[in-house]
Amino acid sequence: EIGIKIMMLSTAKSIIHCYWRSLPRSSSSSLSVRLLSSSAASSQHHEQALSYNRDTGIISDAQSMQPLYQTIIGIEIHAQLAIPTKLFSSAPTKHHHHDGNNKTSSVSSTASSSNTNVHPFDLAYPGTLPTLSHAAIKSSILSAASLNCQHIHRYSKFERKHYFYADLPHGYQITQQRWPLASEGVVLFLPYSNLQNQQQGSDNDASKKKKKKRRRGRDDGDNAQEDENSTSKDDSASSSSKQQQQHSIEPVQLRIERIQLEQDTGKTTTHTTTTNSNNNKTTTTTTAHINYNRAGCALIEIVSYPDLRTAHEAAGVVEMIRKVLKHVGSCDGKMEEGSLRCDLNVSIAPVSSNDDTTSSSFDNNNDDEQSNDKYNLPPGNGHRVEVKNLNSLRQIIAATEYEAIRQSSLAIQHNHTGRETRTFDPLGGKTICIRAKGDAIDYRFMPEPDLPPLILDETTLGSKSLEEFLERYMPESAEDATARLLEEYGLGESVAVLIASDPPAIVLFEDAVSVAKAELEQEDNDDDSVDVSAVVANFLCNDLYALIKKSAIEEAGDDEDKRATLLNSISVDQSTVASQRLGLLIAMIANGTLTTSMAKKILSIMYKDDLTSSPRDIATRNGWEVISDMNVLVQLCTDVVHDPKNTKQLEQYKQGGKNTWKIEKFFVGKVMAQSNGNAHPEKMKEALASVLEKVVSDQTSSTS
Amino acid sequence: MMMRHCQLLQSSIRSVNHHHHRHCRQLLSITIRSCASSNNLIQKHPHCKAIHIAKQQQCRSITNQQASPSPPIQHHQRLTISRAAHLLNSLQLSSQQLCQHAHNLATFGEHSLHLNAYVKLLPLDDVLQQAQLSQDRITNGQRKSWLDGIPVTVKANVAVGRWWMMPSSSSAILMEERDNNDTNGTATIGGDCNNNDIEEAEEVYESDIAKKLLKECGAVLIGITNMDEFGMGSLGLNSGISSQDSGNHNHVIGSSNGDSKQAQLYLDKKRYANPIYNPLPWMHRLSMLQSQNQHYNNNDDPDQYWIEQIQNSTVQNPHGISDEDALEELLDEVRYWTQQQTHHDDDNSTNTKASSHDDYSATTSPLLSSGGSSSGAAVTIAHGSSLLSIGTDTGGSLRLPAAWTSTVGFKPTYGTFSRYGVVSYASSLDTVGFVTGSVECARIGWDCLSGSDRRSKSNDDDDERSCVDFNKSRDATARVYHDDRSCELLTSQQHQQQEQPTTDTTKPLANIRIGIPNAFSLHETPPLIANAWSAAANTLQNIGGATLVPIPESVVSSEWIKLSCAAYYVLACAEASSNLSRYDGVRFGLDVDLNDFANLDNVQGYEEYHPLSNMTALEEKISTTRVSGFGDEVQRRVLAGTSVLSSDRFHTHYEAAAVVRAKVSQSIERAFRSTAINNGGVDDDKVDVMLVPTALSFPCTLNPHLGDRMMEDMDPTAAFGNDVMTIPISLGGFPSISVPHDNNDNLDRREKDVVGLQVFGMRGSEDIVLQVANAINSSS
Repeated sequence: EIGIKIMMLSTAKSIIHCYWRSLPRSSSSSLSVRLLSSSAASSQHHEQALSYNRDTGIISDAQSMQPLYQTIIGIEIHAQLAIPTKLFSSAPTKHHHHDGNNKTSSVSSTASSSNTNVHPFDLAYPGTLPTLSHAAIKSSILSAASLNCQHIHRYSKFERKHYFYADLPHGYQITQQRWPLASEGVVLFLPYSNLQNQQQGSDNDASKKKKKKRRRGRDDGDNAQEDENSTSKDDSASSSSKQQQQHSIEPVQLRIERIQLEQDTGKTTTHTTTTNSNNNKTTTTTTAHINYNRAGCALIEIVSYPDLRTAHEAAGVVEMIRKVLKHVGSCDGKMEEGSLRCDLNVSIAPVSSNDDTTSSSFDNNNDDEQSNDKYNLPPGNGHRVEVKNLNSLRQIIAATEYEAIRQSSLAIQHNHTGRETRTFDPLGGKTICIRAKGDAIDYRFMPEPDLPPLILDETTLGSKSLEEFLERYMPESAEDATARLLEEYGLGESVAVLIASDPPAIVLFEDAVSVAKAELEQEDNDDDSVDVSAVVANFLCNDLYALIKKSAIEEAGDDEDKRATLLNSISVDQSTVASQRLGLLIAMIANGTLTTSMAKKILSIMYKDDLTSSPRDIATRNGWEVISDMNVLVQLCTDVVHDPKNTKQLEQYKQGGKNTWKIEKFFVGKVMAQSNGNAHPEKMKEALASVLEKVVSDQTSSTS
Repeated sequence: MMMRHCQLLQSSIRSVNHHHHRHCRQLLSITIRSCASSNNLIQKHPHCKAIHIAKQQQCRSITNQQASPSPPIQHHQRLTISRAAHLLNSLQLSSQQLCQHAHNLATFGEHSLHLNAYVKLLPLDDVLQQAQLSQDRITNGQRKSWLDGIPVTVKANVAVGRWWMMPSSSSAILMEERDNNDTNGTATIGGDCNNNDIEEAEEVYESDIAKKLLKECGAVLIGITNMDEFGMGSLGLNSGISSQDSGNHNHVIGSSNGDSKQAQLYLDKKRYANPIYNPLPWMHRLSMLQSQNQHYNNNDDPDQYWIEQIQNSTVQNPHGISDEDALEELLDEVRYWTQQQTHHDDDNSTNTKASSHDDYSATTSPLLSSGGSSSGAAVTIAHGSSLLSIGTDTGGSLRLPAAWTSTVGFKPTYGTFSRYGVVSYASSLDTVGFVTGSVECARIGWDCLSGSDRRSKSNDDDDERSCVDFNKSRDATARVYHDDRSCELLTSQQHQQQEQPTTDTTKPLANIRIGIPNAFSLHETPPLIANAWSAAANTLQNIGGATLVPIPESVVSSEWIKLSCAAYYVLACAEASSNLSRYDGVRFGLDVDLNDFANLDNVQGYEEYHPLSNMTALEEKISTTRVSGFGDEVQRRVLAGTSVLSSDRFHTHYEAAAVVRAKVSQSIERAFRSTAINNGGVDDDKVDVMLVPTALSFPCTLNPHLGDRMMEDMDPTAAFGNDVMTIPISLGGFPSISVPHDNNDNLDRREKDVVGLQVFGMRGSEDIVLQVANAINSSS
């Protein structure tokens, strides 16, 4: 059947259908499903068995273990900026919070329905023009600074990159090419395997989590001292059986060539249906649905030099960049949602035979290179193959490995790969060619005539200089924040480190403390017996994080991958309880209105069931209020003790003896029940004691 | 056809070496070579002819003016905005009456004169409704501006809210909803995305300029004017709208499985698009008929004349011709000439009627081109059906049609009016401007439309720092302009203040220096145009008291001016190919049914439309959409643009053209006084404005009987040469105005001998430009 129809439905949920005559070329070949075992460091391929070591990046003969090739890897990361509007239009993004409450379940539960987050410009309505978002400028400058870019260019320009595709509304992407926003950055990171080990078994309680955070919160690579300290601590904490990783614990450096601002495209999802008609003809129809909600969202593209040598380095650096961007707040880092995507440029170079062919020789080589020329690729390096759109660390590792083996096998057969573009099929664990060299697209770059150059002057920055701008907007580093929390709030070190590793948590903590203090001050409560900061920190680190994690696990369901990534990116950012309500809650504990256990119950309700009510309202509604008035308590106890139903127990008590404590306990339970659990435990016991004492003394006086 | 154009381009555009200047030369030769007829156009005369003639004729022109016999009512004697506003304000006339008259004229122009000036004429009720609102404001003394209640029109590439939601310049290019029973989909997308109840929302897709004109100034919209498709073309021949379409602009052929007839129909529609005709020949005839009217001759109070004219206006006879037989005869002739003989489904009964007019066929066709691309805008002004018509000017699109229809075309500095809501052709050159009947009207239009702009500017600045307000500043390039302009305005104001004391009221241009650039004086300039140029220069000197300054080759080099035409076409085509990428049939573009095209290669004459065999389904769809949706001229320019942007030609062509552009605008800038202040204040040889002709040719004669191209010897690229006088000014973004110049000393001039003269100045100097233009306009 010849049929191709691309039409836009006119309702708000416009979906574009594209009936393709046949499957796209890339996916028509049948795929054998080959799952990579997560531990196996080798995989079979073609005639000669080759194995790839993810830690050293060496491809060697599986039998003789003779090293043959080394992988050379460069990366391009597309990070979606977490700003409320799109790059060039006022349409809201998924980071847009609709109401004044600064958090409304941004836990992606509110994914907008298709084609609703669009401005006419995003659909390339004829006559619409772009206007650059200032939030994007701010966010991208912070990203560039956090990746230690030497040059954040005062003058950068936008260009158009042309190609036709259904999810590219304008027929071009507005990007930066010859005049990028920033260039020459550096990232220090640890290869993936080390991260892995530190994470193992650290999921459940906050104290272990703290270690993980500590370990991975090392954002400032320059601080080697700090790094070593934490490394040694961690090693002692984790099992000593991981000795062999010790040699690679030294941070690796990746140089960043450029960082540029650009637009995202729409999203195409295809559905294939096969129908059997009467005369045994099968018709395959592929329907493409295009959702333009993502079209025009702000991205930064981070392009690296080919400094990486192993699959685990590639995964490690992506994780590090993800953390850094999250820390400055420019990207939410959710790889599973496509907020951070990665393209790999993989090539192989033969391991020279006269060299010592151990991994260390390559490490040395690596160090030497930094002083050498720009690209400093090893001799004999093959053509680079670009693998596009990798969405998880696992995919990065698997794709690198697949490419390493594939390119090596071809090289052994003297059938070198040309420059090509491939995509990764996560089900088959394979990369698939989408464009060979001959089909390369001429993107016809052209200066964007609808936008003036981006000049980072006072008007644009709102600060006198770039330095002043960074001073003002750059979030403090985790180390600085920890020191400050220790100093100002007298928090315990573990708690301080945990809070400091999550910038939104610092804000939430500080706001909640000030809210609680203000509340207490208003009540003229001079009771200094409760350390508000400590209680806030305690609630934040234990209860709130636990709630966030729980909802993340619930959201992930059975999806292992998603669960892992979600747990990896736990942040107070996702909390539905903001500082205001947390502060009020803590104030109620401090002034004795609530017990800690009541507060925990209320927090749980605030988090899940009631996203708006104040803690006081929730307490009142549930009748949770500590009774600490002595008169009331005495009355309560008197009532219970003299209750006719309890005459038997009272009589027993009056008789005295060694079992009186049991009777006392009985009365405590009864009084607690009578007060619906609201009686202040200590004071109630006091009251009960006085009541019982009175009973006994009355008795003695009456008998005597 | 695509293939043929590709080959044509490849043969004409050859890669050259890497030296910039050489590239520029090469570039010139390439484009010029392809524009066969413009090749000899661009040759500079050794001496500045205009100045020479001006000196010879200094006295003559003034005496001749008085001696020439007073012509019958001239077409330039149009109802002006100020007169109309005066009649409205003094309540001698209601806005409804005025707009009804305009609507009558428009209807008469479309249906009786077959001008094809409108792609959409608003229903009379809609017009009267707007007029009613205006009238209410006027009676209550709450007039919004001089334009309140004045009938206006807007070019088809401008979005005008609910009346013209989807700006388009071609019937075939925009995809419409297939199912009209659905809610209006365009509004859904066009409206604010957050708005759930779009039906109720006032906010529909509206350009900034239309908002200003209609909402803020209160003008009454009569209709949407026709144009060359996407503004490409300078003859008004590429409208892309055929006779079947006019009045039913958004007509889309329904899908009918595999019927190649449907596909043919599609492509033919495009082929036989009707040109936009110049109303001048008919206006001339009509005014002769009018002059026979008794009541006119006896009435020399123009106010009274217009009141009568408007009050007696009918759809059948809006011009108030008393001799109805003569009128019918004229309309008969119109019908005869505008009838396309080669039309595919030409089985109308009119054919037989036309055959009874064999006597016309002996004469040459009276039909004239209106110039382009804002053809409809100029035509509605020339015909009188609107008093101000918004258009766009990329390389001369407002000024050329204005010159050819004897109207005033005003292009302000690039970026003055926001381009938001205006379909982009070449973004870095597109300028929103307007056509009016006189310079005085243009002055009113400029004051009204730019006034509110200036006011809102100060507010913008405050907001800009904290966050971008997307609704306030929707055109980023306009912002750049305003930043620059604030300084320039300041300097020019200081400049004026210094000189004010010496101003002589009898010599309004006493302190103004007018440059006559040698570089614009070309050998091919027809004598009539050269004479008009010098006569106008004379007038400015003798009557206005301005100082004429010849601008030598050393300041404005003819070398760069010559190259500018080539550079323009490289840059404009490159930007056009990029801007038009969005018409891919997914969201915008012709909604073709591939089934209709599947068998087309079997049909003779349509082989070229069949997609290539190695295309994917999506590519096939996009290809068919674009091949069948875009007109020939558009395809030609998109292909040229695609070619110059390709990686092997970008440096040799695009970048070279950008260098030429910079050089041209720098060299022109150097001649202006406002920049001289920065250079140290030596301004002996500096000028305030320059005076050059608008076009080097007269409106060409069209003959629909000759077939689809209308002209016997029409090279598709020949029209490129028409813009040689306007392009250098566009490249620099300078404000420019084209003023009609009536050469009264030439008694035996033909109807088509209309001359437009251009006054242009430094960016931001619109006020002086208008002042000088007014002196020419009122003296001629």
